[in-house]
Amino acid sequence: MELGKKLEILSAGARYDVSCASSGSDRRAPPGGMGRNLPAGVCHSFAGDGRCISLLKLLFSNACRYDCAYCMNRASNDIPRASFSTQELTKLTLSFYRRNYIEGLFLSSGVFADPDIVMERLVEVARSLREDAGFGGYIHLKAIPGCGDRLLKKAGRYADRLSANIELPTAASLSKLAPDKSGKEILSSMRFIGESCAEAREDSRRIAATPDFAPAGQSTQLIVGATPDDDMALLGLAQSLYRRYRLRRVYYSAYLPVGLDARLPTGPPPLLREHRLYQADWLLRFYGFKAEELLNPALPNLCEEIDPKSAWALAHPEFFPVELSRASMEELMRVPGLGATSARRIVSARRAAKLKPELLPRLGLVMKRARYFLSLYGRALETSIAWEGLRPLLMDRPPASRTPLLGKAAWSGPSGKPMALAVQSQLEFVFP
Amino acid sequence: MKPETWSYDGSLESLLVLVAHGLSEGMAPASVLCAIRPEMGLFGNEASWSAYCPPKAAVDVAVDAILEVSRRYYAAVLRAWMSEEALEADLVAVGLDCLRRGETALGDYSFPSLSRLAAAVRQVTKETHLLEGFARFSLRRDGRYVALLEPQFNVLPALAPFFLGRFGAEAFAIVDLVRGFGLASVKKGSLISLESLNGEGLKGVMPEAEEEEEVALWRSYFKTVENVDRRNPDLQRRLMPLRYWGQLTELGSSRQ
Repeated sequence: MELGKKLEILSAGARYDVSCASSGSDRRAPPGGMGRNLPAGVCHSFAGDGRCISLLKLLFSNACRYDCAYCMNRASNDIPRASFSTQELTKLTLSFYRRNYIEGLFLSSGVFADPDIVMERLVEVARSLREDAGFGGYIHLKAIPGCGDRLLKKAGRYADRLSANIELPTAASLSKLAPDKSGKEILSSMRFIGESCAEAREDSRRIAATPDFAPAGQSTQLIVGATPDDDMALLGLAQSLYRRYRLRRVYYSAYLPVGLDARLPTGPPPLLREHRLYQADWLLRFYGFKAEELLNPALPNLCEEIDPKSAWALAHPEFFPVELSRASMEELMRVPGLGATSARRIVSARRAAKLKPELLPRLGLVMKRARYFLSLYGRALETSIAWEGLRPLLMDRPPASRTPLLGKAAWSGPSGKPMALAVQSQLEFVFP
Repeated sequence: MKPETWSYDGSLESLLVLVAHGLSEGMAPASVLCAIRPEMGLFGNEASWSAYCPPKAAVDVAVDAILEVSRRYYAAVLRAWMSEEALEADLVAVGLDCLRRGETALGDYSFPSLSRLAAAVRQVTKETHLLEGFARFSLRRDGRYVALLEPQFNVLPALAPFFLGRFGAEAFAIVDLVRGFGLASVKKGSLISLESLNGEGLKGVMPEAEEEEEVALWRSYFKTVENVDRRNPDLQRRLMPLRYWGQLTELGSSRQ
């Protein structure tokens, strides 16, 4: 099979994996090699679905002996099958990287043989890129559930990030849709990766020459809307994974129908639900919220109409108004419409000078939502609207093309280096 | 001392000297005339501008004086120059404020000069970051990977370290088609102007034959990786503004 055809088949098989980040690693190529990672990552293009293309996302092979109902590559699906060779993948990655199409390689695979054999192939591609080609770009490898710790350890030496996809939030859902997969095996891989990352970090503090182990950490993916699991199950699991295994990211992927199966919903993907979960996940990771604050057994799903932070704010009138002149960063970040940057600017500006209402727009603050929740020297910034009347003002207008909301149609159940230094070195060649 | 109108030739060296002068005088100019800004073509005497270039020693002293204020301030001066906006008086005003109050002044967005400066720095930083991703290189017959760019700001100097790190020992060049200059890598990971490289820039250096095949593979990948059930062209355009599309191979650009 010619390379173009393989690329078509094996990129189509990998496109349901959401992760495409190239952030979190500061790797440099060895002398004579090529490639450099920026900790912030770089997006090289955006596909027609609006998703970032940063890595060359491919399957090593789409042949799979598992029969997960939600997966396009499942054993029972009659699709063309293909596999890359290590040389083909290495050449393709380097060629695209030199043209600045990509930041590196994301490599996953169908489980075409024993998990150890599959993982060994993935590791060999990463080894070849790092050792034979001196590649210093980003490599994200999928940890094949059930493979041995020795191979995971080897994978972590070459990869910037590892990921084991848990896909479904409960054991019941997993046994219903992916009977060949074991939640325990996936969690065991995650635990091993998490512990190895922590060990490598700890060792590198004492011994500088300690080899890296997946410096960009690990991530996982949860499918949204393929099972009746509610948002509380998804967010609760995400929170527990962040805490227990120190995951860098949990990705949420709205389920896209890939065939007719009575166990699965039909209809368009629940994109708004996916969006709300990302917003809530952001609050967990960066804003100091806990899943229990956003959801509870009486309210197991995120609100469709307003974002999770606004929903929390409306439910907690006792917390507001937040006083701009003395509130902490944490308090400011709980105000709808204010993010970490805005909060930092407020704190920084009030250190430099007395805050005045007319100066707030100059700080670059978007006050559209925030003004209802803020006061300055004891005076509320907005007094014309009663608390009860705020809800309609905080609603998002969902884009017309992005339906349905919670996929309910298908379910009857519950739903660095300092910049100055970097630029200084450029003066030499700008003005030799 | 009465604020006055200052003038300079628009080069980075001259801007550094101008800013350092303002800091040492303790005074921001009322306005600054710059030879390379369009309005100067109407009333300015362009011939007299191009002749001036401050000596290297003066530039070194100026850099030291600016770095003494703060490294963040120095970075802002460089980015302000790249923005090509009329920010010289603001730069001096912010520098003086910084000398008085320390780095706290760089957080005081209520100061109009800082607010304008910060907006320009943000724009330049954003443009640099976007072009780190959207620059497209093609292999030329001389073995060099070349990217032809049309940046909104003068960001080639800020882009260069990223691509030096990326290409390592491999030969590459980045060309600013808007401003008509380019930077090419030479040994030891440094860059020189394209003209110094071969005297005629990239004229006559055609893309390598294998290029077509690689472009076809990339376009095929770009097409396949999209989930059509999630199609969202508005989001695509928002994240990848239309003004970059002309240089993107995957969207049909034949420029490379």
